[in-house]
Amino acid sequence: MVTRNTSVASDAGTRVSVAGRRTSRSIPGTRLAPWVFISPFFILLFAFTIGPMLYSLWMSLQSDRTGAFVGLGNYSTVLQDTDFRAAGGVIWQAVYTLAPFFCIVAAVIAFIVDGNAGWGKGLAKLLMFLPFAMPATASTILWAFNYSPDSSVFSPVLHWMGVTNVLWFGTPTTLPYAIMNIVVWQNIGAWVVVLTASLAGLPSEIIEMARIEGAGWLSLTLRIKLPLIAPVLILMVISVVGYVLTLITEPYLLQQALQVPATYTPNMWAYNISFQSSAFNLAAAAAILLLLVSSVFAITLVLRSGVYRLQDR
Amino acid sequence: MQAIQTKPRMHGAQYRRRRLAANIVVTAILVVLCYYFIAPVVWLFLSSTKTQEDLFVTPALWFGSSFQFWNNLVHVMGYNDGIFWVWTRNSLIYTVPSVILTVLTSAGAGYGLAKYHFPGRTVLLLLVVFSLLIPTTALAVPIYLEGAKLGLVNTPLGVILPSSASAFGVWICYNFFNHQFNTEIIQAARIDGANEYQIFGRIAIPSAVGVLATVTILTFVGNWNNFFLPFLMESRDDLMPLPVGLGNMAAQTTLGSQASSAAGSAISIMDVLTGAFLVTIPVIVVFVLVRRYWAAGLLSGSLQGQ
Repeated sequence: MVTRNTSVASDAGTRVSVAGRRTSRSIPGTRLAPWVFISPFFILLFAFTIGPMLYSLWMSLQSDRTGAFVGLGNYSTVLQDTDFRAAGGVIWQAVYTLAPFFCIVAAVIAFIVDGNAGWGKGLAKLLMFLPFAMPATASTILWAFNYSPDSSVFSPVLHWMGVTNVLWFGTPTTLPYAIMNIVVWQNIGAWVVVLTASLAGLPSEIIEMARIEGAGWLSLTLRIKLPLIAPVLILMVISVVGYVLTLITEPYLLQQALQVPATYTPNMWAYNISFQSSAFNLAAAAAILLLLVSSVFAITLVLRSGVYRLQDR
Repeated sequence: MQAIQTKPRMHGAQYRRRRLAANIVVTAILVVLCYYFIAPVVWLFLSSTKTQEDLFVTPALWFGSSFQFWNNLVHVMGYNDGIFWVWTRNSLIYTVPSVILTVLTSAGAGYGLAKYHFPGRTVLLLLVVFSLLIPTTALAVPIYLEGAKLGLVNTPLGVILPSSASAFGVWICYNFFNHQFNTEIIQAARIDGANEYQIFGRIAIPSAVGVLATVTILTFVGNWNNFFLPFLMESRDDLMPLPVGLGNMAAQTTLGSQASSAAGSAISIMDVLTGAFLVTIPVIVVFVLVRRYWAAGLLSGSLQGQ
């Protein structure tokens, strides 16, 4: 609160005072200080986040063979490429199946963990979180074995349930689910932890008030708690969709085990075209397309949802 | 707890029964979930103690007929003249400097953005948020293309520098300094004659130890586990970090199938499994030791408004 008031006061001061000097700047030596503090990070950010984007954008406008300026030619080549379109289809399918599934399941688990019932929930949260700490390389390797009936930890359970023809191993139709399962297993626990932490941090007065007004468990969850944690939910959606759009580690490592095509996702396509065909300008165009789609999605969601604002503005 | 207290106490016995039932149902759901999340990790540990034959014929969640962990360890360490040691060393060379750089630059930028008002501040803040929303894997190919131009490919810096620009770290530090670090402390220190850098170094940094620990842990785990960027940047075998080297080993075997041994592949699937277990150990240790910081950090990194 104090911070907020100070910043509002100094903003008002700027508008009023002719000299435009604010409290912090009126002290000698404070004009330079913020730049000293922030520039190391922003130099790195410009060199390795903004820079690569601009460089790729510039590259994507030039021909691979002649180096001449081709405008949007590379983009139309990429978008007309059969493999790239297939990869886009795979990702699109994952976006509208995996992302909603992931987010709903994460929210449901978080509400269960946040509720009153059940024993050992602290331990459960810890164990669900554990896969998030593992390298994607290791989790993909261990799942490849757990898709195999002979070595899977799920075989005994499935046998007990009467299922003997185990899991998704090796068929093209079930491949997306094999990959999605690894994504869910690896990442969902982290979001459960984030969601339960934000549920636990909700102001108890509001919850109490709703209870006194007669809200039951369901309406309390759906009408009060869910809207209150909306900013975190939105961020989860953005993060999951971003992860799916740029998927590469899991399908790349499963290439041998599950016969994944070398250009299965757009990112794999970009990798393949640059390392197998040395068509770096086409790879740049594909990368720019991915960046464009993921950032437009994120920004639209943030702006349209209206739940997100910079903290002291 | 609150729900329990606000319930009427008239039907005590009935209510207790219902609560017991709810406890049992929820606990059962959690047990099933935990089996799904943890059984494969336990399996990975158990499998690294087995022979390849035992892997497919002995119970998945119990030890094999003999304890082969040390043999598997020696075998994977001996693979390709001990390349596993080189990968481990590379992982440390890439991870440690980038963690230090990330912590220093994040603390500075978070503090500068939260505690000073200067022209362009809002734009820079929006830039941080924008970078936060872009998936890092979407940037790997552009970073590689730029790195190729700058001669950073197949050098340690090609991984270290891009991994050190962490919008996430800045955001966590910014949130901390904005909400939990009082501006009045700064003003009091200024009156006492401290300059801006003394205030930062002697007051701000010591008070932010918790949040910097969070940034350290999250960056360490993120960079240690990172696959795609080093995969693009380091194509030479002796420059790869562990996840990339292990990934290359894995890509040459048919994971999850007994066929690889029959085909007489140079790499045994036991090497891949034992390697996967070894790569996981450091992050699991970090995870268990400092789990409190993880949750707090993930939350403060994701709390964007409000």
